[in-house]
Amino acid sequence: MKQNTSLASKIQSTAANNFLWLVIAAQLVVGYTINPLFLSPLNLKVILFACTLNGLLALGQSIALISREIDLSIGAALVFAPMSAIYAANFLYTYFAAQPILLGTTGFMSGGWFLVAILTVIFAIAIGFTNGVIVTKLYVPSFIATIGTAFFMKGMSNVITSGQPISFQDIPEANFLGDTEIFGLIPLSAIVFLITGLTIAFALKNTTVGRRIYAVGGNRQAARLSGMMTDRWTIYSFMLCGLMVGIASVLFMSRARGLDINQNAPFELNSIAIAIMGGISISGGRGNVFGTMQATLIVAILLNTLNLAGFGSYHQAAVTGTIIVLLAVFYKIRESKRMRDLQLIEV
Amino acid sequence: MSEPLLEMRAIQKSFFGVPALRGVDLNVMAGEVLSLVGMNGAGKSTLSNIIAGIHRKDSGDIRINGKSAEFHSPKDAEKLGICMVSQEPTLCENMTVVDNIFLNCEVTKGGFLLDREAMKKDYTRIMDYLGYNVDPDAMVEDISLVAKGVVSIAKAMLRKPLILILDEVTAPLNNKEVDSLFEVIRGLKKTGIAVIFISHKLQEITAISDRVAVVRDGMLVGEFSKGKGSRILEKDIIHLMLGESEGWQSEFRERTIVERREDVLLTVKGLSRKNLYEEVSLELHKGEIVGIAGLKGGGITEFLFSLFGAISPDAGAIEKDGKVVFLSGPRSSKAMGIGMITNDRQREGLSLMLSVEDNIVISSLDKIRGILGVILPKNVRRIATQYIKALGLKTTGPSQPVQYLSGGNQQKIVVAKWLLRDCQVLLIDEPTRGVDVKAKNQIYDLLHEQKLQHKGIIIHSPEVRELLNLCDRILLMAHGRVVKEFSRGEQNFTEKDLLAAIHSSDHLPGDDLNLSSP
Repeated sequence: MKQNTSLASKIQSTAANNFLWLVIAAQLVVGYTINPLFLSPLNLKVILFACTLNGLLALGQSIALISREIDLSIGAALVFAPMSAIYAANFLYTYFAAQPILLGTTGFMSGGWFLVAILTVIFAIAIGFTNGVIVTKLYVPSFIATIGTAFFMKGMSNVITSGQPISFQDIPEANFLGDTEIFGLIPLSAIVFLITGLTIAFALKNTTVGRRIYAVGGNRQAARLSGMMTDRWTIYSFMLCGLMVGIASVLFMSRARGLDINQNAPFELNSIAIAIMGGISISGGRGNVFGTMQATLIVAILLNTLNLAGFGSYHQAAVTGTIIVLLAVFYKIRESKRMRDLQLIEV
Repeated sequence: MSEPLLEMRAIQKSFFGVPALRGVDLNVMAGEVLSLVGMNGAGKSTLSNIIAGIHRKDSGDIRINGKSAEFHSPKDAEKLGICMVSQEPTLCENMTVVDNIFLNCEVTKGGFLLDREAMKKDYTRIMDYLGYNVDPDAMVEDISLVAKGVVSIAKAMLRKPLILILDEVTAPLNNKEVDSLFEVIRGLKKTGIAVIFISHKLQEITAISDRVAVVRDGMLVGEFSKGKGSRILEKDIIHLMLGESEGWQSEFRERTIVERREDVLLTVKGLSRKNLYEEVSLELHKGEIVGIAGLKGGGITEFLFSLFGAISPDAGAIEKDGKVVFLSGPRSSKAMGIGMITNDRQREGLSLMLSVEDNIVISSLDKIRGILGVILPKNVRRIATQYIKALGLKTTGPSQPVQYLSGGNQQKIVVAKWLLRDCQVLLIDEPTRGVDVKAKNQIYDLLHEQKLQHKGIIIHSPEVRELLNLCDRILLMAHGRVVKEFSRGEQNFTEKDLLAAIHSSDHLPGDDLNLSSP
């Protein structure tokens, strides 16, 4: 095969492989040009905060997508898991310590943060487990199964809380997670996101866990014939996604000082969009979560820049949509070039 | 000698009430090559699938080294030392070669962490043993079909099997590659591994086997042993495969090829496509079957695709009926009366979920439309039934989804589809890949009929005998160029001459042609 090692093509291939970093760099330049306040510590903090929630959800979605599934219930789980955790914790506290943490019908929570946090994560993983079981044992496609669980959870959230939000009554442990900033600059929650993301990335790339998930997503039949318990690994993927949702819930609650089940941002769509922008393939088995994390940053910076430039949320949505399509085209072009270089023809 | 490595007694298996195995007894000894032969649907695939743990037997006993064995999954079979390499390489295309080979038996540090160094070392060891070189970090989707086959075999080898089942792995290989593979198999025999070899190519069976077991209609109908000095004869095998009533003597029925010079149907002038093929010219006459022989990577499939409009050439011209044509795609080629049967029926020739009848009529919808463009189901059914009869299609009915049909029958449906279309020029790439003797000859009969109706056919096949049986002329393409022509009636129109020409090293590539190699 001809090796074209001229400087031009080397630059070209480096650019193609690190494309997302280039986009981020370009965004930083553009952002600063629009408004110098862009690079101020306060604004950077805002951007990092924006990364956290969507980023964790996108990480979870990425894992699901890599295993050739999809999780459309993460938005509903984001409120259902913590809500169940709070009520369960309240029940346990009332029963065992005779000290309820939920004050009557006012919707205030007074304490028990650690238990609530742990239960949130456990319940979120359990929701993932349920999704996985429905998909593998009942043979329901994940698209349908997770829509089903999403509606169920949304409904139940309303039923149990009667639509009333829960506020934290000044719980120092919770505030700690939400407010702490390392060196007064980097929010703790962003660090949590970063560490979680890097851990997942490492696991997927360098451990047997990663090989299993990619195999299940790439060619389930081949994976099965290799002796893998493919059902089990699909369930694990959903549970990992659930873990991400759980962590995201905890961080979200601590920042928002409470839980409002009525919020209806399109978390599922956002997570899918970010995953795809980061290079995860919708048909499974391809992409890596580094790209997801970079895409999270890209979207956060993008929306922040548009804000600073004075554009409202509708403009932001339109621009985001355009970027999604542009990135998809870019990936397609890169793929075609790769096939051409290897002299593979698509008939 | 000693106890059999694998003993199977009274194995029975049915699918949805249809019996596939009616009580098979089979022994396999360590260090021998046992070939399983039989027509598609005779039960040999079912039998090997049961041994490999993919299907569960309904009843019967299996013993390995004298100990009774029960297994319900490929993993169980693997633990007992049984590995299977299947025809269509089941590899994860999205992962690298090394990852695929070590899938589910990775070398780890501390149980979870992948030890890539150790895996690469093992990988080199296995590849050296097999005598084939594949870049370990290449993505499986990028390597050639042959390389994929080798990777599948390496994957099985890694698990140090006692019994290795090779299910039609030679289908995409040419003679030289098959020879290399057989060398490896002979090496494996010496280490005591038992090899169960399944193939439709009787030439290979007689070359490599120590014993041949013939399966017909779910029963084992006979065995041949290569004792001291005796050979296993193809015609004996065929006789058993088909049963007394058929009375066939050889793999390819004798056919009288009438030679006549008719009008030129298709002219190809200097067709070139960078890195695929170069300056290919030929003339196809009406009532003529032209064969193209050559090794993989010779650009033949791509050339055929170009004649069908699926790959556009960089230079050259195609003339049909004397007029220059521009083929913008399969649609326009079809309109001009050119049809193509590709070598990948599952992905390119059939809609697996659709029924037999839907697959047959799908390329001819404009011809079977009624008033207002409505397609009447009874018309579809009528046409499908005609073809089912004409081709001897083994199916439960026109509405059966084609995914349940055997390979040979699936191939017949692809042929039926294009026959219905009634093309003037038919391009065929590997017409009988994975098809058994009987179905093969039925397909050949149909092609011969087309020839008698003044159609023109271009066939590419890695099976030289097939081309010799069917074609008026055979072109040899190597590294993208036509290097030799063989005509029926001339002295060199023999298997020996063709094989010699195909594998000769005269046709080394020039410096400017840069073809992808395994």
